[in-house]
Amino acid sequence: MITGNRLSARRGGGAVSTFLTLTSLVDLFTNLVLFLLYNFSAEGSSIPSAERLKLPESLSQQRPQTTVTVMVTQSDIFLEGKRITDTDAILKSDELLIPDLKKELDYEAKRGKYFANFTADKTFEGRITILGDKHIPFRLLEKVMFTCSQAEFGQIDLGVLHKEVT
Amino acid sequence: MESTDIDLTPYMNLLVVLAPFLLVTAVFERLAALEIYLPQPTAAEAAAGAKPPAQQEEQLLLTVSISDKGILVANGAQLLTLVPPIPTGYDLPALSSALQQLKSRYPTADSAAILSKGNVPYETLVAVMDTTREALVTVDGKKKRYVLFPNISLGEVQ
Repeated sequence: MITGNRLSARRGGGAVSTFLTLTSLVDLFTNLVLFLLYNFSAEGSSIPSAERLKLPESLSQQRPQTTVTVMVTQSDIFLEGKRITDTDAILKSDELLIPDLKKELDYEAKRGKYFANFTADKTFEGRITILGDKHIPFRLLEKVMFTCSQAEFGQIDLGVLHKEVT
Repeated sequence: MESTDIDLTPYMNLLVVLAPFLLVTAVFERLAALEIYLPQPTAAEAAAGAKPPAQQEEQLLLTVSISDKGILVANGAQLLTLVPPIPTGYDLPALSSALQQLKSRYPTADSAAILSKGNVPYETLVAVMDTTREALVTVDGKKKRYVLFPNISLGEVQ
């Protein structure tokens, strides 16, 4: 009874009405949403999140194009997400050409040309993007680049992470 | 005495839905591309034919070689500068200033060949490419980009 009395007494106090102050929360959310909308890109992330692929950073401002992509991690080589071969054997061999990759790239080139026939404004440019792990040696990159150029992919782009000027 | 507040509930609903959605889809790492110029004989011949006066000027065949002893900057067979390494790696600021001097001497030159040993990590190569492509110069407290030699081809040195 006592508590009841107290409660009613407080309620009976009348004029005091307690609102939760939402203003600061609304401010916070508004800022957050505006910031995220500003950074929003409809393309989404085209960076593959492979475990052993850490791209090097560069100041380059050039936007990447959607092309055929070769991914070179420290252990494997992937073409369009498909594992082609492992890098150990390639590093040991003296050959510049990577036969397995050449075969798959030839197929990609054939496919690219075939599709270019059906689209009026597109021609097969032989453009390719190499996403390399930052620790791979130049010898490996050179072999991949040589193989690409042998398979009619002469326009090579290196994929890097964009670094802001600080 | 009656307080008239705007009813924020619908707005809050909107924000509560939008904020997590945008947070999840946010992209904080942006991919960029570095273009490599493979030497194409037809293009080179066409350029040489199109610009005869350029041939009378002093030609710059800039090569930047990454080796154990440091970074060698050369014009054809003539060695210009050797940038010795510093304890933390290669001395990229020194390379940058050497290349800026070269650019001021040959303002029309825009191509360079980067030669590296087979064991040079990709990361180092990209850093040297960045330094060769453009320089960051501080003017009035602001950093500005200056294009140096953007047409880069790659090669191996034994």
